[in-house]
Amino acid sequence: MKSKRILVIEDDPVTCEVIQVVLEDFGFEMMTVQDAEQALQASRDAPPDLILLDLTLPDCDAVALCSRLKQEPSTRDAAVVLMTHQLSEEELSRVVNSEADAQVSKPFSPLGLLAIVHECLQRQGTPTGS
Amino acid sequence: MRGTEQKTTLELKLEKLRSICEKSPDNAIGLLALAETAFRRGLRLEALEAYQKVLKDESVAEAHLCMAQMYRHHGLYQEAISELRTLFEMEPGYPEAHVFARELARDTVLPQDIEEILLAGCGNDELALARVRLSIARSLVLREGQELVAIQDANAGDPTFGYYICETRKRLTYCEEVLSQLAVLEEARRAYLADLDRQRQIERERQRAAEQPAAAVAVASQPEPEHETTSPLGGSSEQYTVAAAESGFFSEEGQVESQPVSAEAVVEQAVQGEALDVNAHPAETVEVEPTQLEHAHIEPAQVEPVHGEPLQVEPVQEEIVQEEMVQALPVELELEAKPPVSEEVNQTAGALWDDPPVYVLPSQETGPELATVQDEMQVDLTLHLTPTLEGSLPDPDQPGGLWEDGPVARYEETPPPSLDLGIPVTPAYYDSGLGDDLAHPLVEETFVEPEPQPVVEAPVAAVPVARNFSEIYAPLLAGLDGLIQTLAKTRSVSSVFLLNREGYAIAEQVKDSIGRDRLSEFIVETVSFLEAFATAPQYWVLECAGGIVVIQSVDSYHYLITIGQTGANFGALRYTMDRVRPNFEQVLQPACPA
Repeated sequence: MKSKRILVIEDDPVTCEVIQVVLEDFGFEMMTVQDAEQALQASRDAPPDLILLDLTLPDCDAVALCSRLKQEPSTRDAAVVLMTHQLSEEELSRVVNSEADAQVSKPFSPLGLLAIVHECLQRQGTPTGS
Repeated sequence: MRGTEQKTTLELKLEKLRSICEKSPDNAIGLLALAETAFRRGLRLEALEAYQKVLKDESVAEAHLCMAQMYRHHGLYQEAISELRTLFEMEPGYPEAHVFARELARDTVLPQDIEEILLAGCGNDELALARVRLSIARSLVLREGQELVAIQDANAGDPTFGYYICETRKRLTYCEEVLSQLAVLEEARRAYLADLDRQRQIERERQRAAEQPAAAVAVASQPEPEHETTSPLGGSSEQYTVAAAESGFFSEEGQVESQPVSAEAVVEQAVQGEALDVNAHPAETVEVEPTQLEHAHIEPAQVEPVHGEPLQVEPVQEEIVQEEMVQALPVELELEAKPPVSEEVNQTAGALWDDPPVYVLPSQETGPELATVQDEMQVDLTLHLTPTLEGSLPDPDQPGGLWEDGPVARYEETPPPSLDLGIPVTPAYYDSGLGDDLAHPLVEETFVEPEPQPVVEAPVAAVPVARNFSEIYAPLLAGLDGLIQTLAKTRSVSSVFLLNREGYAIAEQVKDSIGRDRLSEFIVETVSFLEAFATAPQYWVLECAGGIVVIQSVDSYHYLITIGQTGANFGALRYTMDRVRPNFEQVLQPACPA
């Protein structure tokens, strides 16, 4: 079975690396980018099945990027999971009202992340990786 | 060291995460990943350190759960409860924590606040997510086990993997147990919700009953449905009635205390307008006599059923109730009647105490065998002195005797019988037969002292010649090297030495700066000292911040010393040492002194 492709949009390279190690271990094909431009480009090149999007990207509104990704032909079918930190009420409201499919709070455990990824892919009808 | 191709995916992942965390020691996500991976690998210490770092700044439910599990593993139940409490403050419906808390309740009494949380149970979404998490964990553990088995097959005879396979099997079993416990949690949740609904319904009915006292009688006549559910702590085996438990109806022994309810009491309560505590009554029909109703000035016709539809009451399973009752009955220990142990037996056999030495008190009623032994052991204290100089000694009563200074005692004219003292005595006149010229001159009778002989030191007892160890052990080295290498494969083990009691290093695998000379001194000086504490120990473990030193006696003459760095898996090390010890013993048998 073809492994599922996951795009990670995260500006912290260490976090990116950890997510990559964790998800690769479960058979996912990983792509990591650090900003919105790279994300759009990468998703056009290889459409992902799921996108992990950091809420606190520098110089970028993650909620707005999420909306844009949901409109892009290459990514509109992909599940978007917002990776958040401790949220203020205003931020929480924005996240809840966003077009994201799920949210995971940082710092997350590998199993916690894997469970959410699995759930999102299940909802899409695409089972998890290997 | 095993090559990359001989490492499992988990081990490779662990190495990657270690490398990441070395570069960024404060990255919480990296630390969490490292901790979880190490925990799954059985490296609890490494996991604990990583979790502690994370929990300094963050609060993560999974980290608290793992900490609680580790505390429980070491018997630190209060610390485990503390972690659990913190976790439940964050996520009261965390299913894995509920399962763990039930396990913890077998070891210790849980505080009331945690019991209440357990009673509330977990939500369906939480349970669904937990099932996904556990399924993922299970599949990861399963893969780890499969990889280990494959590697073990490729390295036949290497016992190192046996430990990890056993540990992996345990973790797999645990995953499956927790998964199966989720069904119990689900059932408990359903029962809890059903009970809440029932409580609300009863509350509504109470309010209505308070408004319509007569109607309350009908409420009381409704049998109380009993729902069997699982105890929040005891799993499916401990079933009880929710309503009774909720209303505090469990006595200390766990028996449901049924209070006798009379129809008069119900009516009186209803007349007085008190809210009926329906819950407090056992499920039985209260028959109201018409006379009582008249007494209450209530027309029977006014009594209307509160419920539009009769309640569907599930029959209470009598067997279960009976079983509960049986379980709840105070247990009477049936001790096997044994004859009282006589004092004499105690004293003789030392059976009741381990430490005091066995001793035998003399008994007047000793049997013939013991009497014989006693006869033989009697010591004849009569001194049979041979008379020697007794007769020639001065009378002690005479002045000048040996005991007093005074005039010299007079000796008898008659010389005492000659005493052959072995000293040559030259007679006063000696005829040599050689003529007068050459004859010895007359000399007075004197004692001639023997010529002093030069003192010759007694020959020193033969000192045991040091055994030629290199010759003794040479034919054994081939077998020993393989065994030493097996031990050295254990992760974080830096050196392994095999020495004999006299400090001779027979074989070694050294990856650090500790030389064999130092170890030789160490074993000579340490073993006898340590043996003063324990005569036949299997292990001595010296632990310090830098690592551990494990001394294991192979036999009464040979010792294995294993040195591990920080993070060395002592469990794995011990397992491997236990496995290879008989092999060492067998190989070393010819070199073992009688």
